[in-house]
Amino acid sequence: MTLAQVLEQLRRNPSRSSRIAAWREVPARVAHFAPFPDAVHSRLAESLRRRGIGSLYTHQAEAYTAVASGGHIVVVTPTASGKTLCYNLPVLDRILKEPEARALYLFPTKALSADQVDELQQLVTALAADIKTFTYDGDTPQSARRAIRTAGHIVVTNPDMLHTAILPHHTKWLRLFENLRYVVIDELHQYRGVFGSHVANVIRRLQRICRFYGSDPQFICTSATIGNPKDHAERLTGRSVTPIDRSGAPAGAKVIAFINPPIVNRELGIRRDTLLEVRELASEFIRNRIPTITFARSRLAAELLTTYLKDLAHQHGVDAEAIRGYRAGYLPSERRAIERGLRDGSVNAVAATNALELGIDIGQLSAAILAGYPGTIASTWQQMGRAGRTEELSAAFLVATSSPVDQYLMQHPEYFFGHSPEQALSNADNLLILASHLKCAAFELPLEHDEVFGEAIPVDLMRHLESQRVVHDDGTRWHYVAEQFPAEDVSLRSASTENVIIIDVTEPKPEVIGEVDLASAPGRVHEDAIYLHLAQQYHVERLEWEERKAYVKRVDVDYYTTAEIAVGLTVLNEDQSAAGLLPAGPLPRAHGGVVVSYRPTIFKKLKLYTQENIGWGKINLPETTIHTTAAWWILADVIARSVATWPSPHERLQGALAALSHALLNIAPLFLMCDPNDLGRVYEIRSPHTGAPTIYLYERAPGGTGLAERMFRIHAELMTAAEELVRTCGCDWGCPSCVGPILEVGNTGKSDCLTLLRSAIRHDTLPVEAIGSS
Amino acid sequence: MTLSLSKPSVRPEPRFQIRRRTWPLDHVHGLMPLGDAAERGRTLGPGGARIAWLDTETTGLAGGTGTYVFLIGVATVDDGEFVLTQYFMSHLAHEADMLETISEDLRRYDALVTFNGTRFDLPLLQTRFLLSRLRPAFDLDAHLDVMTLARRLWYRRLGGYSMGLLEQLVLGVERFIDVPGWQIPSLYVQYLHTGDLDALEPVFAHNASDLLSLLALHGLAGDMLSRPDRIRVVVDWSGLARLLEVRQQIDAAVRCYQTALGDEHETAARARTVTALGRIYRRRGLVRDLLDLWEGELTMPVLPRWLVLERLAMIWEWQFRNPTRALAVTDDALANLNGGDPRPRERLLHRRERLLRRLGALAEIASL
Repeated sequence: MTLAQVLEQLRRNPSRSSRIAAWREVPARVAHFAPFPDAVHSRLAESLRRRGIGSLYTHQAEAYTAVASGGHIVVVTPTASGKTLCYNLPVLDRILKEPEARALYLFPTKALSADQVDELQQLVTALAADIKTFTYDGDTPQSARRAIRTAGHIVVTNPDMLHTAILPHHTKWLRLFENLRYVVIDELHQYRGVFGSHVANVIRRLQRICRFYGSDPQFICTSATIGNPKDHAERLTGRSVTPIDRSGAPAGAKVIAFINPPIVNRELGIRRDTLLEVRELASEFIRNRIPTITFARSRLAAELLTTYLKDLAHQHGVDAEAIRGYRAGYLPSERRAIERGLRDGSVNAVAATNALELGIDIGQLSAAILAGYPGTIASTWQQMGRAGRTEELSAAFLVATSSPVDQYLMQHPEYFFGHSPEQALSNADNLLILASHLKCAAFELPLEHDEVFGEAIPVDLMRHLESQRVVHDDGTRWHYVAEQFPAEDVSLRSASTENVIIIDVTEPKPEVIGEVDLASAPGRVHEDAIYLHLAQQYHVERLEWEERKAYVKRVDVDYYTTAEIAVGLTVLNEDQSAAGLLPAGPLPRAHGGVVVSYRPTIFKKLKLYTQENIGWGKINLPETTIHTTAAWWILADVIARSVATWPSPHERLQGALAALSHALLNIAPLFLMCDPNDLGRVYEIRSPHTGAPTIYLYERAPGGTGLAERMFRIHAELMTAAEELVRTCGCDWGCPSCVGPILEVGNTGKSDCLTLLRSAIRHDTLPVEAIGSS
Repeated sequence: MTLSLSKPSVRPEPRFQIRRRTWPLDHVHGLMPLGDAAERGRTLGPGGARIAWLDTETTGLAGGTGTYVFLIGVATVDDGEFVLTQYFMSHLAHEADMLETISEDLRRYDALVTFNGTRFDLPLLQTRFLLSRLRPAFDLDAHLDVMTLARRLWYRRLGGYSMGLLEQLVLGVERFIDVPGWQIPSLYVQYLHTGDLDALEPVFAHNASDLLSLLALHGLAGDMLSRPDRIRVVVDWSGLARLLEVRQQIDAAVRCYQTALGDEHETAARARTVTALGRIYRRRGLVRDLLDLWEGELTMPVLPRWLVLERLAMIWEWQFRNPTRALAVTDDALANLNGGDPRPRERLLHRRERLLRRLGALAEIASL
């Protein structure tokens, strides 16, 4: 059968078609070509023609022209639209014309850079020009580094290496910095949240060093589709950036479908296992040898799916060797072999994790099946983009899990299809992050008193660093005088570098198996906790808090543990610029700086599957605090209207606030392009700060990364979506997918939460249900 | 003596400081007078008529652009005296002035001698010059890093080659009041904060001691290499022999290798030494000595028997052109193989096959 026939069958089979929550057909798109701009070096145009590239797609020509006129650009076009040529073309062109010119390519991951260097290398080889491209990362041998520093025309690296190895030793990179014409930032959308805030500061430092050497590079960025590519690129580079977002690349027609597995336990709102559903869906694709990729959210799930798909192959008499797994942890050579196999067709189906999500070239497949929502609209489009042919039909499926966000999407496919993807948020001026990078910047070059770093002159922070004797003021400049090498203490991938490492002592030879950040350590690796790592259970034998070490042993038990952590929140300051925006409506809100304290109290042992409480223990750990930002909602008015009629107001209010904060916490990541774990919640029946019932959503990253302010601004969307999430959830009294389990919110939690939300959004058309009917 | 540079300046505070201290050339530091040390050291290089010994104190040990050199000691022999000039950056704002002056002063010398300058002091200074937009004042080729000599001469005997260790165990120099190296950066930061120069006095003294010991080591190494038969200090004979060999003092190297073999019981080191000595014999065509050397190893219980036999097989095959004997020794080596590494067996089997072929060919010729 062809793909079209398989799809037709899927729609006609009643038991299968009932699970289709959405079905969209995206029409084919024809190619739009543009000739090579006249300015392109004739050798380059000639060599591209020899490689079968006779003309450019319109967006490639547009990118070249914008760069040639001196601008900074961000290219936002779909997967496989020839994005890399958008930067390789202007860069190679410049080097051909000016052999001294240099370019720096930044990729977020190593695998990706290896792939792009291959492609770039092929172009250079075809050019037969003396253009040296080098990868500079942790694997680069010492012996090769000197040559790269002086002779490399194009240096390919990642932000972490730029941060720890290149910038602090910039004098060794004299040739690069003196002649740096272009900085290419691929996969720009990856630089968001804490990581993005760090990278923005690394770019600020890069620009300072370039100024010192008299260069002023242009930025060429590429990004997957996000809601704010221009804004995000400008925030990251500090430059005015032109977006190039009209793709000229062709695409075949495509079907995009949402599949919601049937409910198996109505009370708990549990649906059929996602992986089994994927298995069933994939069956016909495997049988008909339709090139297929499945994406799982964890390594374990990817392994399971590999097994499932291989079983299917056996069942259908198809070669099981053409089915492969792909995830982090495979050897690079294995990965390369699988990628090659996918390109040349010898591998027919692959079960991957998001390790394959990035722009690694695997050619184009016919079908993509996502086992669970990847967490953002942007990465969903990216994974779905793995299926897509330039001419033929392709199909992409999102198979839902029972999680709240997945279920919301199944109920509201228009959210996905109609909504522009999330905005990538970052906050380069997060005080902690900024202070870290000012140290690094001062290490690289003394900082002038009147020097602008990012948005402002950081006098206060520098005075603070001075008081800590990190820098010394010579009257006009601050000099770094601490002994430590500052970049090593700053990890770009998290705001706080403090963590607790987890050491497996099952075997005589202890092995570090992971780490948890300091803030979540008390709740996850307290003594006697069951810690899950790659689906293996570990019992925490000992937690050495001062040494930041947890010692664990492998176990196989039928319970898990959950810690009760008393979370306290104190408001430090309310953002005044937000005060003017405060609505006079029923739900006043604010955002600002807060201190969050965690005090672990007890932990419970809950039986797997039944959640039966089979024991508990005390946690003896000190309280930890973080400074961060939060958004909060003051519920005085909306509650006043109903609470008087409640039989036991206090308890019921407690349940209602728990339910509402849970619903908001469930829905917010969808709008913020963040991980659910990036946010936490606190509710208070009578907040010392507002004097009224208040719900806080705070950022777990110390210092905050802009999420709180964003929640404050998109308040209306948030409330509407939360109301829809709760209203359309299939459960009766509350479940983890909407307002939280009934044990936490009580019998009335779900309905009270709905009442509060409706009152808050003043949704006139909705009938207000009577309260207290239960 | 402290004097501020008398350049006209709008700033009241000194731009940077220069201190000068002298010692008579008959002052003994370590094992010989300073004058002798300078003389003996000269035989070692670096080339050039005028040598300066250099040592720096810095604000950190990690390197990179944020590490400052706040004190540079330059020692020279001038007008019959050992003269130490210390350039001290009393104010961070005047680094460029200081570097410019040093650069000017260093131009009078042809070459530098340092202890670990290759990896630490000189790249760091180069970075400082670049950051001040100045041309570096020294030529990296005209430089001798005494640490590379010290590593060969003493590492295996002392388990290290830090200046402190060498002073204690080789030079017999004792520092009565000294500041540990790791404290120096924080003392400077302390000074920047308080302006109290007294706290830094131990650092000036430390730098001076380092330079005296650098000269003493330079002289001692020169002495050892020019008169290897009269060495009175602890030494790794094999390392000394290697240095002599590099300097084409082959006879002396042979004697030192032989001395080294007298009490070398560590397998890898003995194998290196025997191999190095054997290489000299081979190059000089002393095939009998070469054979005796390796046969002697058969009576010593240090090297694996198969290894010695393999070398002997090579000697019989190539030096004596005796394939029959070589084959017998190869078989002997194969019989003595132990351990899990498959490579020696492969090598030996390969050799055995080649020898058999050659013997077969010889037999064929003989039968003609």
